[in-house]
Amino acid sequence: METAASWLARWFGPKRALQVAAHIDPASSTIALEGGEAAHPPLTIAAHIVPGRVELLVRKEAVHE
Amino acid sequence: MSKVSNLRELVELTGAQLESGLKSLPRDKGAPKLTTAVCTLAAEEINKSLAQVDVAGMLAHGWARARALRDAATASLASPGKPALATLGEHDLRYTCTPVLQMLSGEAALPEIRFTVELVAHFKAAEMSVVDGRLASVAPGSASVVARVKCGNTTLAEKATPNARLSSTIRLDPALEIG
Repeated sequence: METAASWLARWFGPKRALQVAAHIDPASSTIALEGGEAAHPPLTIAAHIVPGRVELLVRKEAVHE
Repeated sequence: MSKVSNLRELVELTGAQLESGLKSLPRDKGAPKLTTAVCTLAAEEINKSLAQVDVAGMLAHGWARARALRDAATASLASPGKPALATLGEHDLRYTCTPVLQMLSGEAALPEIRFTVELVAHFKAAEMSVVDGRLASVAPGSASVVARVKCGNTTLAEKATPNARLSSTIRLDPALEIG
């Protein structure tokens, strides 16, 4: 059986699929579509950090006695 | 405030901030519309990723670039194993990183959403210790910090912490290369 995700991607393309998929209630097992409801697979959300960089800006050098 | 150890303690995102920020993005940029429930879960995942960032360890890479360390590095190489000290006066450290939000519907990956975290920490001074030509520890005192989470040019969350306390002495293991 075709999943809701592949259905969305096939009909809307990956970018639009995200917008449509956003209307999925993660607590529900169905997605509201025009003309009825369809089962959808669970929505998994995760985040990770791409490390960046750190810059130093010295405003005042230390005073040495 | 209590001692700061990770980035989440300096800025975090609520579901409402994420939802409202994403709504304000230009539609022609393909900005996603997420429901309130999804935004709440997504914001928490972003916050969890921020909690993985070690603030002191990350800032140490900026201190390692200080010109004031170069003389200390030379001196420390002349006396192996013995620390040479250097003091940095008033300075700012600016850090940026990119939290990436990923969503899967079943096994299908949806387009990821990239955010930017910007942090500026202002220090009055920092005492640094160099051993064998490498930065071994930093005693930075407290900092005034402003941190924000952005998506594109839109600021989703911003927090100022006027007296953020790091460890009194940050020991770097392994010690950092200078320069």
